[in-house]
This record gives sequence, structure tokens and C-alpha cells, in this order.
Amino acid sequence: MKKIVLTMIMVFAAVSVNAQNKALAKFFDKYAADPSFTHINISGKMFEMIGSLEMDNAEEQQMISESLGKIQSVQVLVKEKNVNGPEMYDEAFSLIKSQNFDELMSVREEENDVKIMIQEKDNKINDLIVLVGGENEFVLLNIRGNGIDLNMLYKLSSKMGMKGFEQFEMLEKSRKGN
Amino acid sequence: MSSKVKRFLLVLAGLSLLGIASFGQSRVVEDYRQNNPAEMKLFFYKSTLRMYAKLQKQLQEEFMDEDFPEVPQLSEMIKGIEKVKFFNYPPDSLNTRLIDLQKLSADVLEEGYEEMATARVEGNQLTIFMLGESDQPNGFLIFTKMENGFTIIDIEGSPNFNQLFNFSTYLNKSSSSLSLSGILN
Repeated sequence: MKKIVLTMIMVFAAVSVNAQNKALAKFFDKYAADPSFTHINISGKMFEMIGSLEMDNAEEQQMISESLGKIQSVQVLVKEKNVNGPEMYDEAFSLIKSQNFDELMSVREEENDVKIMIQEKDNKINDLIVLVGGENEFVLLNIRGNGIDLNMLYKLSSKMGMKGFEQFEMLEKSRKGN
Repeated sequence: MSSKVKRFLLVLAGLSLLGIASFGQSRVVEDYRQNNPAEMKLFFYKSTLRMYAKLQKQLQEEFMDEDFPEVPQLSEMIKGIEKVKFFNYPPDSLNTRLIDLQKLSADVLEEGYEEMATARVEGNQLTIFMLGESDQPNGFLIFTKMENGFTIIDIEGSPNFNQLFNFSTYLNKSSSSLSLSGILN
């Protein structure tokens, strides 16, 4: 009996995770086909390849394998002209809200709403969403993986000279502090 | 061993080598090119690539190292590449207008390539496919559709990704264009 109940729970969990993925995937599919949107999709294979790079020292090697090597996909959808940002933000957020994401950060600055949300399992981030909606701007960034380390992403981005990931270090510290 | 068997084995070995040699490049792309002649065709073989790598290394050592000591050797990046085919169809050509990128991509996937990344930015499109495993790639295919038309780059072998990473790090450090702050701020 225990086995049957356990199997049912596992099947239910698998179905619900699949449904979650489908909802967000549908949103991406809906707008990715529209040429007026910028759409970028990077597969896990690409990150696997980057994750196997040989770095100069052990710390950098760990940084690469523990951040990029664990990413399964990155998808970005952006529109900066002729877009009703708040409407698209609401549409995306209503989908994400129903998918058990935890809000990590929420900012309203001038006319822009920014939300950073995550899905965790065993204290590891498996799904990260950055959602931005403004007067004439919409951004949806989704990083999927198995234990995404925000701090490592920050360190890697700063090594590569990429700016703008500074918030990730602060978020990781506050997340682990909780 | 009889001479007939020896000859058979030699022919078989030769055929296997031919098979290996053509393993890293796409049959689909070759068929596509035969049916849709490109305006510009460039073929780089191992010898041409070596020559280019040598020249590049000399030039870098002679002119760049003093001013740009951090620049990684470009020659090191292309060491593992066996062959490169480059085809370009200008934007106003009939072949460019008739290109069905989705169909071509689907055929390439069926051939065994995997989609690594796709990007569409301001109407420009880029798709990267890989053949083989991520730790030992046999080849890459890159499709771009931009203002200068449709371009196919078919690579047999693999570039040195450590050197490519160093080069992209160098480029990013020298430029502030790659930034997430534009998104978050």
C-alpha cells in the first residue's frame, strides 16, 4: 500500500512539474515566433561544453563547473519598442504565480516593475526568473538548472567583465541567510 | 592471409577513413548547396588553416603583443579545426528569398546535429548546431540570416574552447556592451 501511495505521489509530482514547465514554455513559444521580439535560447549542451573548460586555477575551475555546468537552459525574451510592458508583465506573472515560485526580489522603480523569482529543491535553485515590465519595455529571463549558484554566476560574470549581475551575489547571501 | 583478403581489408580501411573524414560535416548542407548555388563559397582545409594560424601568430607576435599583451593567440583557437566551409547568399538573391530556415534546421537535426543556441535580435537570426558530444565535438554548423544575407558555416572538428573563452573574456573586458544592467536598471 505504501509503495502505491509513494508511486502516486511521485507520478503527481512529475505531472505537476511538467505542467509548470509547459505553462512557461507556452508563453515563450507564443512570443518567440514574433519577429518583433528579441529571443535567445541556449541549450544545456552549450553549458556542458563551457562547463568542461580548463581554467587557470582550482577556484576558477570550481566556479565554471558549479555554475555553468549545472545550467540546463537559458531563455530570454525582450521587447523594447511598441510593447505594452505592464500588460505583458501581468500575463507572464499570472502564469509564474501559479507555479510555486518564491519571490526573491521585487522592485518598482519609476515606471518599471522588476521581479526575481526562484524555484528551489533541497535548498538548491532549479529555476530562476527575472521579469521586467515597463511603459515600453518587457523582459523575461529564465535560467533552468540543477542547483544554480547565484554567487558563482556573479563571480563568473565579473571575471568575464559582464556587469549587472551584482544583485545575484547579494541575493544569494540573503537567501542562504534565511 | 591471401592477397584478395588483404585487398579487401585495405579497401575497407580506406572507406572507413573516408567515412571518418566526412563525419564532421553535414550532408544536408552539402545537398542544399548543390541545389542552391551560393554567391560566395570559401573552403578552408587543414593546410590553409595551418598557414593562416601561422601567419596570424607571426602578426600577433610582431605587432600586437606590445600594445595588447593580453590578447590570446588566435592561432591557438583554430588548431582543432579540420575543415571549414563558408557559403553566403546575398539578401537580394532568389535563393535567399526562398530559404526555408525551419526546414533546413529540421533536416540538420534529423541528421544527428543538436541545437546549441538560437538567437534572434532585431530581425537578425543565429543558430548554432553541434555534432557529437559536448566533451568531444565532431563538428559545428552555424546559420546566420542578417542584413548581408544568409550565411552557412560548416566546421569539421572543433575550435579550442579554452582559447575562445579567453578571447571572449578579453573582448568583454574591453567593451561595456555586454551588460545585464540595462535589463535590471
